Amino acid sequence: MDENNSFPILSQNGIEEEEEEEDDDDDSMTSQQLFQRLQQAWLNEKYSPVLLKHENLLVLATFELLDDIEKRLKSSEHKTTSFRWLMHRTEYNRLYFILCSYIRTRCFKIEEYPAAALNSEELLSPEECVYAHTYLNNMKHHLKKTVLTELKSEQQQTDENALVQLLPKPNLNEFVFFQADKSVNGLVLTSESNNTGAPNDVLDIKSDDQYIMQFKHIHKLIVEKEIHLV
Amino acid sequence: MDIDEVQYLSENELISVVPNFKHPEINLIRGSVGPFLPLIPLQVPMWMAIHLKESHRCRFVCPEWLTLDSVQELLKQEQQQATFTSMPNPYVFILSQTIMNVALEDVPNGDQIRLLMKDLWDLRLAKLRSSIGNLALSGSLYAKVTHLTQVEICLIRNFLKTSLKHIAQLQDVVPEE
Repeated sequence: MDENNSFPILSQNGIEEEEEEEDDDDDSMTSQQLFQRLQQAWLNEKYSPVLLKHENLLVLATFELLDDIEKRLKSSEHKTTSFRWLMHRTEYNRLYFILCSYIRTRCFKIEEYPAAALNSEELLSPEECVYAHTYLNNMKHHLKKTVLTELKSEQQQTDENALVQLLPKPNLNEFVFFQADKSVNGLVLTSESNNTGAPNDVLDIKSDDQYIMQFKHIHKLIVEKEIHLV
Repeated sequence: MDIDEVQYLSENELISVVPNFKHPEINLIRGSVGPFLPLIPLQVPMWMAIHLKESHRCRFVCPEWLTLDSVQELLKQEQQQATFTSMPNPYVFILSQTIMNVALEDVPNGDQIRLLMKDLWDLRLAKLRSSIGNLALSGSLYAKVTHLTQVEICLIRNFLKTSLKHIAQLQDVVPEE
């Protein structure tokens, strides 16, 4: 097989990153950790009813890694049918899929709840922020043109703030599945529908346990990365 | 999420294969794989194993949990317990299906195992259905689902989410007595 006398496509990269692993800084990690953290961020984003914090570092690092791999793949001296080339290509595609899906999921949520997204601007990346603004403005413009101007003048509601209040909001009562990364003691579950003062549940969660419950109870735990959604 | 994405995630799991060719180490993003030497078993990601198997360059080493004995044991435990039992791998159903689709000849007693897995699956699904009913009826704030596998969660997620949402909406409008 001609694949035996091959140049390592990624070995250079691998060595650099292993060196970086030594310093315990948060923005340097091995490509393996990058893959895993991006995958987790993707799954959390997918299942959570609200937007989570944009993982800017992860996304940028992944773009860099993907660019790098693509360059190496293009300039590779191997035949494009060689085993090594195919495997790198496949892995490239697998990582690329997660990245795209992550970005798509966030865009979808912004489109669904643009006002809610803009209320928590610190969670968005700069690009997403621009997108949310444009989207909301276009939407307002469109609705004004097609609906509001057709109504009688007394039915026209022009107060923008009052209108924004009518926009749909993410449903925090949605049920989600999650698995605990660490043990969490004394998670208090309060029930809003229960006005009679029935006792609220207090729950101790062991690491690796899986539960299903309403998102509002565990929002904080997700932000603190003590659990992940499954 | 749909089943395809669970399948995608399951293909990141490692599996032992015995290659029949020689190839130096490959440095993948998720760590190195190899070197490949004929007849020496090694661990590779599932997606690579599938590719190798389809190009007839390896055979699978049947994972320990996919032998006749261990599947029989799993089924027995599942029958004895009223609750869900722990599964050897979060993707056990998807992986077993993939392995048996790609490499049935590498699994001793493959056909029998397939039937047993089907029984196990049906049994768990029946338990799942009844526990969903209980959860919806009890109106409890949470449920522990520690031993559910990914594909089971995926199956019930959308249904459960929507139905619980509807129940909550209905409860909101019902006047308190």
